Amino acid sequence: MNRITALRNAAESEVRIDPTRLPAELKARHGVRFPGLDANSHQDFARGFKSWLSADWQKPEALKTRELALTARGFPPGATTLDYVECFAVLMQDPVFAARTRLQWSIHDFMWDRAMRAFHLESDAFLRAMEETDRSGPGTLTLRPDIAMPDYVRHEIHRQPGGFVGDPFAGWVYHYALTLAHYGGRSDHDEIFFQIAQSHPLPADGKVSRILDIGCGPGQCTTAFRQRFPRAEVWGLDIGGPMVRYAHHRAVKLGIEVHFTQDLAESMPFPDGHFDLVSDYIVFHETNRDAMRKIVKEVYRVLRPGGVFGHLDAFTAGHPTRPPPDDLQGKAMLWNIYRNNYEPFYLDYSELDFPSILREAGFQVDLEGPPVLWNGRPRTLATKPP
Amino acid sequence: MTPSNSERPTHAAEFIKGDWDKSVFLGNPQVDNLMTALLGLGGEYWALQRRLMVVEKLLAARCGIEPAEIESYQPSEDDQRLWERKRDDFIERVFSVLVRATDEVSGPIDTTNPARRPPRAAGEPA
Repeated sequence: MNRITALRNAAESEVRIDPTRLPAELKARHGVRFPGLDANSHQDFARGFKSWLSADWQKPEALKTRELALTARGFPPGATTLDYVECFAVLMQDPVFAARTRLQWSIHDFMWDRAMRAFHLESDAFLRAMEETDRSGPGTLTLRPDIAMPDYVRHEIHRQPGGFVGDPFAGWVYHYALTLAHYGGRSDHDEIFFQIAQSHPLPADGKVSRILDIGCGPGQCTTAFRQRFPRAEVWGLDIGGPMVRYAHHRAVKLGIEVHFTQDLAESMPFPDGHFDLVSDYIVFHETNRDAMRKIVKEVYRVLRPGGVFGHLDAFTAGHPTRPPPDDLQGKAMLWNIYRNNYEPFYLDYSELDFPSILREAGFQVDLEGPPVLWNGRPRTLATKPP
Repeated sequence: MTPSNSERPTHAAEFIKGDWDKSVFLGNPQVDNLMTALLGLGGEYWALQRRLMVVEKLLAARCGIEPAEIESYQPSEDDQRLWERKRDDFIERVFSVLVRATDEVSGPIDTTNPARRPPRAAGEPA
């Protein structure tokens, strides 16, 4: 942890990468492809089908039709007192919506299933590949086979069979399926992750020598931070053993020196004030209320005075300009995500005042930080006072 | 879960099985299953189409091909754009019926609707 000498001003030695115009060399290194043609074609089909479903849902005439149909049935636009289940049930009375919902989750399951089959059918080869990189560098991997795992991390989030911890190829599957299918071409070469790292604000003094990516999953943000700050010490932390194992394998193959550790974000193995930047990308809504508060306190602890925590996630009830939806369609969609995308803590997260939790921990909070381009969602910036 | 063919350590932990795979959205589980199977069939069909396109490309370039060449074939950017367009056409063609707008059509037929002229052929005068 002390191998890297602290830099006077790492911002001066940044490498600026435009995620919308990645050089061919980066595209070649960051793209993913299954060894077999059919597995790629299955994900290509899922990509096309998901894009078609999403485009059809958002067509202005479709929006108008839904609105008129709901108004005719006594549910005009605007806030509703119906609860989430009731809102979803109202929409499900429309056979088109019901069919669309079926297709939405069937194609999602198809995406996971075909990706999993591709890795499990050659499981010995993929496990051997990870074994070969477990102890090699650049970078390091810390696995904790005996770590105590709370139940909240053991769920099959996003309907991914085995979830983040229970399948040996959770990292491979998550990375390949989302890249080749779910992101719909928005991140074929990690563009989303380059964007997150490149747009992350710096501490006021510009000094960045240590960076932490919590809930790092396959480590795409982690490596992107190191690519922006090639002299910084960059860590990725995740509770999923298969996740950090794959993240390290991927980083070794990319030749990027980052460090991964299998740990809980609510009890991290780092000294107080260790990091200049901490980042998370869509992590907190997958944690329960108790863990959320502990993680925020822990992030505060490991940040140095003046350090910046960049938080990208859904908006919560505490957001002054972007509260969660209170209309029928919006509440139905929240329920659909929570129940059918199997995100057991999504509603809890949505309903709590997350900005206040950050403030209670001691952070100075800015709710309008730089967005990521692909969804325009502002980042919440939490700065530890100097 | 697909069975694995390895005894190597996996570093996977116990997980809590969700009930997401039991959901019924269309009132009858068999109708849900039919939709899922139909979608799976679409995926297999698309995989076959894509494979055929690879074969056609390779056959056009040379007379004999090795299987490994098929597995490693990478389409050009122009090809990829064309293939994606074909994919989207295919999806729209086969599956758009599943989200078609429907209405009650059990009443008497409305015979007052104006006649619809068949589409004119190219070059045919108006």
